[in-house]
Amino acid sequence: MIVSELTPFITHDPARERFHSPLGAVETGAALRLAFSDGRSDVKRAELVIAGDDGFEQALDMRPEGGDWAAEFTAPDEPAALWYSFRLTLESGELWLCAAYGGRFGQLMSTRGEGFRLTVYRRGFSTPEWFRRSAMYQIFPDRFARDPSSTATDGVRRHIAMGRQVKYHEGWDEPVDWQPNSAEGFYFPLDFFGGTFKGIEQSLDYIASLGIGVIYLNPIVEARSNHRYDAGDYMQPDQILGSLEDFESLCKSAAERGIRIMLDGVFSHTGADSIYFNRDNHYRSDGAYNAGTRSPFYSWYDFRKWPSDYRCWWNFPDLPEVNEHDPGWERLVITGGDSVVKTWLRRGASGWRLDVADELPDDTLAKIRASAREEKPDSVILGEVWEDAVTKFSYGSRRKYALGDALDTVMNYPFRSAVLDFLCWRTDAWALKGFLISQRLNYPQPMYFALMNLLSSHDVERARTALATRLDARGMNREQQARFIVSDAQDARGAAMQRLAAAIQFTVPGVPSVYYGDETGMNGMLDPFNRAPFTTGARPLVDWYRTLGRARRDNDALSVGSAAFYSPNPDVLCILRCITGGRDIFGERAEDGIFLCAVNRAAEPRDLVCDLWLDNTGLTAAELEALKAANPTKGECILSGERVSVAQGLVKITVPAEDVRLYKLS
Amino acid sequence: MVYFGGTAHELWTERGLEVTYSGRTAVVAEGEGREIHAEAPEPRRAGDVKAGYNELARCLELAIRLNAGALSPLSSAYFRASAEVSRAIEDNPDWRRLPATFRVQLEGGAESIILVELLRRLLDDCRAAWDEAVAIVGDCCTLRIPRMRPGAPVPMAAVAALQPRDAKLIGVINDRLCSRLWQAWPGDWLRIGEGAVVRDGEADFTMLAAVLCSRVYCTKEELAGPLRALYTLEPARFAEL
Repeated sequence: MIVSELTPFITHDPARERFHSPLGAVETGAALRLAFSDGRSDVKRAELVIAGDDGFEQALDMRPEGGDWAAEFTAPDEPAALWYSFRLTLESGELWLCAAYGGRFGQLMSTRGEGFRLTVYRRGFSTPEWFRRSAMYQIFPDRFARDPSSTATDGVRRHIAMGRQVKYHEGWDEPVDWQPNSAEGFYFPLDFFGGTFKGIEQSLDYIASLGIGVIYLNPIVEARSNHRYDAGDYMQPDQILGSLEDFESLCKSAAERGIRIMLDGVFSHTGADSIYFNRDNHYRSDGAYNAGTRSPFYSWYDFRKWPSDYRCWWNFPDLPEVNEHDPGWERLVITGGDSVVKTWLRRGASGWRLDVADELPDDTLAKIRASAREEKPDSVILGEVWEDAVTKFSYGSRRKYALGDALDTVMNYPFRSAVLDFLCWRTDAWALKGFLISQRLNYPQPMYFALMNLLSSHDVERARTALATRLDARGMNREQQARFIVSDAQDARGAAMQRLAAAIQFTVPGVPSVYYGDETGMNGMLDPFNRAPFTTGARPLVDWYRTLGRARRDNDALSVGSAAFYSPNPDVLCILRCITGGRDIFGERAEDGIFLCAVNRAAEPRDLVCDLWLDNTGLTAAELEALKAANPTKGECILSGERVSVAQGLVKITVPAEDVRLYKLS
Repeated sequence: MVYFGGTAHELWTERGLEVTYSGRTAVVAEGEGREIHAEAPEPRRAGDVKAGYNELARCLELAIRLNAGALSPLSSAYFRASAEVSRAIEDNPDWRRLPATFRVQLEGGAESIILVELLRRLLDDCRAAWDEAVAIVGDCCTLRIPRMRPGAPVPMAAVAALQPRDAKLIGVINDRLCSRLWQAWPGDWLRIGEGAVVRDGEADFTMLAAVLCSRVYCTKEELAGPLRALYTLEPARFAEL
């Protein structure tokens, strides 16, 4: 039962330092002050109750302090996702102050409810600065760019020579295959368009013009399918993409333009058609399937009954799962001097995106990161995680990969959902602001500023299509998706909303990730329709992405500045980014700057006032004081040139219909 | 006629809310503007002569104290406000056209009680709908807050002692404002409390006027200070002095 009459007087807001100091996630062993208000002195006694997994619970007596009740708490020595609530004794009995409204504010309850979140991450956790400052461009290698040489067709011939079924699309503008093409009646992605490393290399100037600092390539290693998530040989690039020299040349040319290359590591499983498993005898190796216990790779896999009954990823027989604790696998993939992880970094890559990171043990993830850092100290490990990475629970346990020991960062799919929901009118700016503040408070700061903020990927429908149709493509089968036509009117709406989505993506903390073709207005439902060859749609936004990318690259505050979020109107989201004192949030040298981005989704202009001095929008008390001391009095939109005045933290602005303003305040 | 005190009896009927009163003290408002003064009403000739005499004595005493300035500023302001509203409604049989002829500029002090009094008369006597009544009140009144803010918060009990329905309407205005603040900052009780009209049993008349007036002129300091939350909710109504 919820008790409401005292609620206005007994409150807790984790976004206010008065109640939660320091703000946000804390390092292991850090001192923390937690408090709640007691406006009418109703509380006679109070206890702070902190709980975690495996039965962890700690209760601390609280003391009255000038209208509040407070307690000091020392964070545990081990990283953990914790929850806290307050047990109150009043004249009328015992009540609990628990989390409500997305965990932001308190709610009095007669029984213990959901707690406020407290993230404790490893002391000293850091992420590479270059990554935090970058914008990302994701490329599905077979579909980005061909080159005039015969590389791809030669590669296709080699695949065929191995005995594989391959279809090569002669025309770049042909539709992708989706029809069942296997004897069992399933669709298998065996059609290739022939994108190559050289093709990417020849497009580097275009990519650089978007302000990109890192290219994330979907898997490039030799494999049977066009997506290559079924690795055949971890050490060799797929011949259709090009040679090792081609890859190294790509990395070198990219580096000359200030761009790094990140690879996709698929380590939870291999392909059945691989050197290691060799189900189809396409390799000369002794694979676990064809050679059994004679194979050096036999112990990688779990055979319930050799050869055909084995553990596989999501029960796909083409993807046998590996045992990540097998010493041989660990040595070859992670720890060996010439391991997969190290070798590709040595060849020019700067980091790994780990496929299905949820399905790799935490200690394996930690070893991958340690190995990568050993080889390249500023390399990045990014995990594929679809939910909140701090509270993720999988395979019977709470995952700790986001707490400083394993992953540097994760794919921020919750961000995608929140932005699309706002722009599809399923939620409003208040909800989006609440979500953004909640990520600010609950992710370890080094990870928060490195989150891969994506709107599209190879696994979800393209942002343009999602915004144009407002449909959830997961409710449609492949045939329906193939036949779905995005109308011109829908595409126009999608383009208008995508502009806004991109503006949010490029101004919130984290690394904005552009999926190839999003900037040119490509549409596409789910796999394989979201992996069509790179082309230009009816309403390209290349100039828009270029403007945003350059603004972010040229202004430190937009990448590594403190962040605050406002929703002065249900249709308008405002994002503040600021650096004062010549240092960014991590103490690194950075150029001072204060930027305010306002995004209006409505079909009418919105006149509004944004109150920059609100004390619970994501800034710490010190950051807010610095902002007040800077006392900006005017602003100029770097997109439109429009000027605004600022008085005591109040910015009065008019945001045109379905448009964006990005003010530089001074 | 201006009535003071008493008890309001509310009865919902098929016609809507019927409000009747008992135990009120009446005075007659004579004159206009600053020359307005109170007089005792004509004594009633029927019924209990002694009771009639006593009532007349109460009315006379009230009128004398009002004219002598011996009552609180709020009581005087209420008298003046109620008289002006009565006259405006009498002069405008079509109350929907009231904003065309009846214009009031407020400073956010005790005189702002005219807002609630006008709202009450529109709701209770003219039977206007809530939104319509609020719009008319807003169109009739502007607020111009002087550099020195007038008056301190007024105890709600003092308002109720003058006109119980006015106190009730202030409560309703406050509730509606708080629900708008809640929409903008759900669960943020501290901010909602800072922006409310009624706090700790006292009404902030400047805030009340800022909520109801269609146009608010004030200093930058007011916008950045007490009116901050309201200003961010509805910036179009505000103008800097």
